[in-house]
Amino acid sequence: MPEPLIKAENIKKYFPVKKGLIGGTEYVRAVDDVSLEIGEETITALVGESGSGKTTLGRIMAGIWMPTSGRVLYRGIDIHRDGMKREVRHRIQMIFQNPDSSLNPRMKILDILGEAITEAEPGIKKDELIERATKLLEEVNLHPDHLYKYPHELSGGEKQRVAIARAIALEPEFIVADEPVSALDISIRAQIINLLARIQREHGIAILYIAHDLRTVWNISDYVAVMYLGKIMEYGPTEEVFKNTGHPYTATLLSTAPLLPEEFRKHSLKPIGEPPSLINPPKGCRFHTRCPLAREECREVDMKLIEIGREHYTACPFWR
Amino acid sequence: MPLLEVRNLKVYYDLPQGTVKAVDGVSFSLEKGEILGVAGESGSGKSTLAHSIIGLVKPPGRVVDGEIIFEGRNLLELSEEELREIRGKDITMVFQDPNTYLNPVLRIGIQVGEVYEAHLGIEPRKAIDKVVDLLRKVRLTDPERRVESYPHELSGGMKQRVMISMAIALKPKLIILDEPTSALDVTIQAEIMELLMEMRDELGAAMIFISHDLELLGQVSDRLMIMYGGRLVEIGETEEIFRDPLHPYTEALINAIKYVRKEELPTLEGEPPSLLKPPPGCRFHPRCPKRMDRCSLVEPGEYMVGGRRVSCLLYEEEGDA
Ligand SMILES: Nc1ncnc2c1ncn2[C@@H]1O[C@H](COP(=O)(O)OP(=O)(O)OP(=O)(O)O)[C@@H](O)[C@H]1O
Ligand SMILES: Nc1ncnc2c1ncn2[C@@H]1O[C@H](COP(=O)(O)OP(=O)(O)OP(=O)(O)O)[C@@H](O)[C@H]1O
Ligand code: SF4
Ligand SMILES: [Mg+2]
Ligand SMILES: [Mg+2]
Repeated sequence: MPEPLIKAENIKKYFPVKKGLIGGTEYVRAVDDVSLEIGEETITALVGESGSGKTTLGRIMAGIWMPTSGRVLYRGIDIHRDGMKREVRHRIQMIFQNPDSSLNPRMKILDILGEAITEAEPGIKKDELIERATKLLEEVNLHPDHLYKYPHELSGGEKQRVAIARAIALEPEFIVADEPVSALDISIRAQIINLLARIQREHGIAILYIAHDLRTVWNISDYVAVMYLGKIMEYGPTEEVFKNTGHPYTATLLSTAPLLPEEFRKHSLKPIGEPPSLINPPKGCRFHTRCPLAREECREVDMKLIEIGREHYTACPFWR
Repeated sequence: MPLLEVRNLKVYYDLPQGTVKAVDGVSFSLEKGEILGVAGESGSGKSTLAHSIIGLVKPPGRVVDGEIIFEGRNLLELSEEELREIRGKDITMVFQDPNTYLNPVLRIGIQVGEVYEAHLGIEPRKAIDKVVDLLRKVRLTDPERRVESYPHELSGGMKQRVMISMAIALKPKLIILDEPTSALDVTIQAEIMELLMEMRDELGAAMIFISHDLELLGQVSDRLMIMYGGRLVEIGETEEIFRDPLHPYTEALINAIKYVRKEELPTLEGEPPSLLKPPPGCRFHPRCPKRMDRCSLVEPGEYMVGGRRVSCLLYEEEGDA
């Protein structure tokens, strides 16, 4: 396998929380020893239920948050050390779930895009800047009239298009897209996914696509990483993970999507009960308290990812 | 005789800008114990339809025309008194947002107990055992304590369980569910759905299940009705509609939930129609990929195709429904 573009190594992120009234500190282990590699020009989907640590890992891989330990290498450069170098910072961008909180409401679209454009090319002339901004809007199928509007004058889908335009203004090689369509109307989601897929192809960008919706994951991703309680349970090529599912947790996720094609369904399982706390996550396999197939060993043995196929890994030794 | 028969129902809202034809000539029927799914995008008239069946259309809205026949009686001709007897007992409703319905200053036990008072004349305090049993049935944890709680002390999922308990308390014949899970977290959604299906197996009540989540409706409904711009565009067996949608709008909805790999996802361009000034001819024609010249000129009737009723000029030859 060629050297990956982005490599996360043994990432941990523990958030301190106050313990009761007497004080003392406990830790939410949002991400707990995760390694993940993303190759050039590939889309890797990160899935898992609410609170599993997807956003936390995404922000760390985008260089927005520091990990508690571990490191993220971009072409061999540690993105968290000595501040992020400018050329690295430009190559890595993030798109958020809610465009309202990521676009400054007091800035016109021209200025929002202009900020990114001048960041890439300080001292650029005004008319050239407008030309570039117009081009960017064209790329995301927005009319140039929008340059002189404020975010609140745009629909949710249009705002997300602007966020995508801003992200590509810096010619990134890697974009973390954190649930970019979850906040949008169902009818608009497909349009934005199609746009992301086209931008990715045309610019040769690698994307970490964080999502709940298995339909869009199946549509655009090359690889899937499945997270549960801060750990990766399964990783592999998308078709492998859907069709030759390697982990009971993945199987339970697949069984929540009613219209899934039959070929994905052969392992459908129902999870037991509620997800446990991240402060004292279960020992052994993190999924054992909810796994319909759990055995005695699952409570004790720390599970490591094992290879079960080409580029396909699972943290369950007993499945299949 | 069907349990419910809605005939040519028209419900309009009179606004300063004009008349919004929110439900504009809709007919369908519902058998005992049947689940009818109602789908359609935002503003297509789903909630208005639901409110008119349960007699909750308020000004500026008004029922302009049609009949709503429930167990042989036209609900539109009943007195408020007679209606109140049916509403909350034989026909109940669960709303998307429990907060608009629950009284914030009344304890849960009293609110749920009121159902018994209104229809059986049991004082809320005396009904408390019944209420606890009921809350247990909808699997609200710790029901003995929960009767003392105020709505704000409950999570969204718990409040929806309370709403469901009120809806099933008196063993209704028809439950109308208007997006009962849309406001909830995905995992909670699944639990509430499970509960609803259990309740229906137990009660054998008919349901009108409104949602814009077609995938969900595909799982739970026997028949499906698709609305567009205040009109019914297609109605039939859920399975058949999923297998072979007839109306181009239905087809677009079904396509949008298919799994396709590494190719463009199908999209439906354009905006929902204005109900103040709906497009002439077929209301869907500005967005329809199969539109013909006639479509902007002639209003489609309703045609029977197999066991399905569909309102699209492509099926004009098939004969009126
Ligand atoms: N700044 C923070 N301080 C304390 N805890 C946090 C912080 N950010 C996240 N967490 C906790 O870390 C865990 C993982 O959160 P994260 O947002 O990464 O999950 P997620 O998988 O993205 O969930 P969702 O699907 O809901 O977006 C959660 O338990 C969350 O409450
Ligand atoms: N109280 C009201 N006053 C004025 N217009 C209303 C009122 N309630 C609904 N409408 C209008 O009637 C039309 C149908 O609305 P309705 O709420 O029935 O649609 P819906 O299909 O339930 O939509 P949603 O999926 O958003 O709930 C819309 O154009 C709406 O703006
Ligand atoms: S009547 Fe014409 S425009 Fe309307 S749905 Fe049928 S083909 Fe499309
Ligand atoms: Mg998140
Ligand atoms: Mg509604």
